[in-house]
Amino acid sequence: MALIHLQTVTKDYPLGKTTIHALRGIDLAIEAGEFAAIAGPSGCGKTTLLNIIGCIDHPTSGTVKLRDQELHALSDTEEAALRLREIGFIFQSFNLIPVLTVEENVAFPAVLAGTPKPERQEFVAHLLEAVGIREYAHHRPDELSGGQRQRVAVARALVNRPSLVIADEPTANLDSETGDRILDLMRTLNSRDQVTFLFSTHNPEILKYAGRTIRLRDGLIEHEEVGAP
Amino acid sequence: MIWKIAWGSVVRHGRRSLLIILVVAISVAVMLFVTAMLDGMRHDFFEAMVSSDGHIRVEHAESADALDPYSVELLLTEWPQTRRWFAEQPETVRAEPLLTFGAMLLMEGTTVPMVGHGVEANTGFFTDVREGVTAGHFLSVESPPAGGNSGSGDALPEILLSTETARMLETSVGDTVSVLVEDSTGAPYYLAYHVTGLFQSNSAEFDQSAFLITHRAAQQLLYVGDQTRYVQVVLADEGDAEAVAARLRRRGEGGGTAGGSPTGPDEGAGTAQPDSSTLSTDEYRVRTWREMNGGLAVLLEMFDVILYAINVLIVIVAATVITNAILMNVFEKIEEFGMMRAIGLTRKGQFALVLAEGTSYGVVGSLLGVAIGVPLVLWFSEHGIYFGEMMDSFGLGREVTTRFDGGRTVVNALFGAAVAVAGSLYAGLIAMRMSVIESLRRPA
Repeated sequence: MALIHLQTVTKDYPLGKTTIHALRGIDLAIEAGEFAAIAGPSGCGKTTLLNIIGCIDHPTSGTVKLRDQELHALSDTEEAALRLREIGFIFQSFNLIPVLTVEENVAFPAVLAGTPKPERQEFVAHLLEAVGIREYAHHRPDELSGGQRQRVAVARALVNRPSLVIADEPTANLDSETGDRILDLMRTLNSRDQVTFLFSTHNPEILKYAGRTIRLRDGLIEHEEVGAP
Repeated sequence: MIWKIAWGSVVRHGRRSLLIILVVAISVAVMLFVTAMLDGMRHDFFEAMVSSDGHIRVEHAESADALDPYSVELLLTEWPQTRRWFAEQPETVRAEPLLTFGAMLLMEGTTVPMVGHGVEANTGFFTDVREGVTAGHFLSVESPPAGGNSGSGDALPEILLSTETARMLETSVGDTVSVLVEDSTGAPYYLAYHVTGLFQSNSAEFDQSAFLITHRAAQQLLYVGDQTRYVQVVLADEGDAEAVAARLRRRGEGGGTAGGSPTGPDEGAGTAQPDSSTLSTDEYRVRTWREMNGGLAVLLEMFDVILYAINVLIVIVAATVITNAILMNVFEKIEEFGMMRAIGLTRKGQFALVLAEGTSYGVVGSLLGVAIGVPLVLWFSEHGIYFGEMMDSFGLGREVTTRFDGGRTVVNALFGAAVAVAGSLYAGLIAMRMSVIESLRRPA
């Protein structure tokens, strides 16, 4: 069974008297353990698709299932709980909480999930080690470089052991070398810990890391490419 | 961690936070100060009232309609019995006679119309006069009375003048002044008095018009034997005044004696045995502090209304500023909130985050307000606030001292914190209503 299953998903945005059709009927399945990329030019609907899969936006029509659970049937609180426990997010602009330290930023979703403190501390330390920023545990985000901040975001996305990590243009604000390192890290976590990653990009260089590439154009899947990097 | 994020936001928005904290602090300090001042005003009013009139006053029945309130025709004869009756009531702290009379002070060609007060030397009334003695001393317990109505005697009786009067008469402690009255025979009569002390009370009006001599000296000056004008009573609790006064009136109406052996408040007046000291309500009337100072009591109630109005105004202004400032914080952090919601924070959690921020402002602001307000209240409780003749004309004295109250300080501090929390409610609701995607897309 697919981890994520989308059936005829559309998304329309009213804009004055016109309507923008961001997604025009997407059928897609993401299997557990995949390292998949959504590619396409700006405005093709990548972010909209990720937002709908990540349960932070709703489709205009169609169904989205996480395993066999239909997401549109969830209440606001159930959606929040699902995002907390099943989905990890990595944002283009890192979006760390500026007043918390690196360690606290990573621990924040675990605190929301009510993970006991000893277990939480141990796993946060493990994640910081895994993403290579343990020595910055007590630094604040504004004391870190862009690459380091994105590593913190990766660790935060993994702290509740989610089924799926969604990354929206995770390397867009990074130089190419740092972007490569981040993707190496994500790929390692995918292959070693079997974490499912779904990320978007418009950079063809990044696609070499993807096990599967879904190409979008004008709100439709243009074609898919499968091949391990 | 919610508190750390809230506190972090307070620190991060330094200037805005300072503005909110100052608004809360000033609100708390003003509320503290205003309530302490009005409380002090009320206290001073009661002190002054008790000091001059007591809680209950017994006077001649016709005093109310008398053209001359200081007429020697309107005196109480059986006052010692009345005083004893009061002394036997459990509510009474003290009961004393007061012989007030109209007089002229004479000093080397200068004549000043005044009101004389004949008081017992160890009187518990006129405390602000006793405490306001600026030269010499208060009336001596062993103060020699005047030698009958003849003007003879070895030592002159004592008189206490205000510094204002002494200045007008160009006299001082140790000098002699004469007091001219119309005695009980209707003849003008004067006696010389030794100025034993000068005072400055809290009322300019009183200082310009009053002097004190002993009760005995006043009786002899007026040639009224053992009569007095008032019996004034101070009770432990001013709230008992009506009940005690009613008890005395019932005894009078039943033909009982106000000065006879008490038979208890609930025993019918009819069971009391009339005797030679019987006072009926035809001969005297009893007035409580409310009846004597009705206008001022209303004024004090008006102060309460003003106090509430000031507090409401403070709350509205503070809540508006706080709401707007926290709302700015919320809009500035809306993307951050969207991110938190995206990674699992619930709407309630987001609301709690904003409230925690408001509470942080409230607690810090309130503590600062207490730190500003309490020293102010304490300083003015020592030094007073001079309002001059304006307040004096209302009978509230020239100076108001603030009164510190720990309980009220805590209440005001909590109130200040509550205003900040209330001010953040709207901002919290606005933040909570936005969807995750709206928050993430909204430009800061």
